[in-house]
Amino acid sequence: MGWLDRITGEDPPVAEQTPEPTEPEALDRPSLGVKALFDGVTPDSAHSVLDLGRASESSFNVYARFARRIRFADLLRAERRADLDRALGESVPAQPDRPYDLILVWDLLDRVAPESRAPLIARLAERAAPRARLHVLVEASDRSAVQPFHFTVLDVDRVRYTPDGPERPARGRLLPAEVERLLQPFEVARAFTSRSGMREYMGILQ
Amino acid sequence: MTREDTIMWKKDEDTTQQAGRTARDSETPARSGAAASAPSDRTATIGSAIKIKGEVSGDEDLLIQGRVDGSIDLAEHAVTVGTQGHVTASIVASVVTVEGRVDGDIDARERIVLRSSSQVEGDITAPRVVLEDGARFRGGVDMGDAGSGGSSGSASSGSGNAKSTSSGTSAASSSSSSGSSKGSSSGSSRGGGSNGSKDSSSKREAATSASTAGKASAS
Repeated sequence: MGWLDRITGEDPPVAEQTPEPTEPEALDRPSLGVKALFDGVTPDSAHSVLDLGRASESSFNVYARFARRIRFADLLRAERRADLDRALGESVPAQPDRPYDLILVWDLLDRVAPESRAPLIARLAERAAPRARLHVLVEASDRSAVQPFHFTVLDVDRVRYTPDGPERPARGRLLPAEVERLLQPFEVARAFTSRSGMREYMGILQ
Repeated sequence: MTREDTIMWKKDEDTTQQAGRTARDSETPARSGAAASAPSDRTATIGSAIKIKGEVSGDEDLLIQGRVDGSIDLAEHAVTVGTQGHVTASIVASVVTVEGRVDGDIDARERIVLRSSSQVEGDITAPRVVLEDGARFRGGVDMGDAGSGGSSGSASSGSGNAKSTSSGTSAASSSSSSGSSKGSSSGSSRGGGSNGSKDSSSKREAATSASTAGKASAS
């Protein structure tokens, strides 16, 4: 009834004033999963890194310590498209002579439709080098709404979580056993639960 | 002469000075080698009202504030895609600085800089790459094998999970055009998967004259 208040000159009750929506802030967090991904990896010009998330200066600089070939697929943006498989094909071309050694999937498994999860991992496995490593983040809390993020690798053990749009209803929570099954043929080697309520997995292609 | 012919290259003093500054900022490469042409202080400008379809090649630095669809081959020179520039083309140059938008592959002999305002979709190849925060980039970066400090050995994992090496240390063949050949433009080869190191010597076949082929139009 704000219009009526304006006409009558009365101030609206304080309780009716809706606060300005505040933009959630980015958070820098330690990441044991990313640390495990890079653990023991030596710089090698033949290495290739695939980040399915958004490109950033910091992520690029960290990856460049280990590899000379880096691809940012930005599928977190493309996932809004109906045909994720096509987007993946466009953004992550097969490179038989230069397969990916380190793959960062981030929270894509939570974002895509359940039926797209297994094909996504299968596509990545096709493009991965033998013994390639893969990192995924999965919402592990019981919250009914989850905040999507985009992620920036600040260092080999630190990640920035930047809110990427409004909260959305959580899809069915992926349990650890389900994730392990989904990630096949990547075998989960390390898993961590972070204080953010997300669970990190690091898998190795078998 | 048609209007289209007369406006293929637009140069004015102000924009030339601006382009020169931008090119210097991006460390215009020193020219060396027998194939290098006489040093040029000039920077050509494709103004914001210019649209070119076809191939662009030449012997001076280039600032693009307009639109180019096709290919750009200035192997010995710096190419800057300004904030108003929109290139749907493959770019071959010595140094490439992007402040605007590029849809296509970029191949630089020395360096590629994606400024914070840039938006790039395509594969980029250069020994040195700078990606500024805020840049929107989707594609592959190939910095080649040089200076990586190692041969293709295996990367071992401390946790006992040996990380294999990929077999592909050999350079992929370049799909980009070189020299100043003109003809039909093929646009970008985005997503083609060829992002290997390229033989820089092939790109030394620099164009020796500023020219454009195809259709230019003002908008």
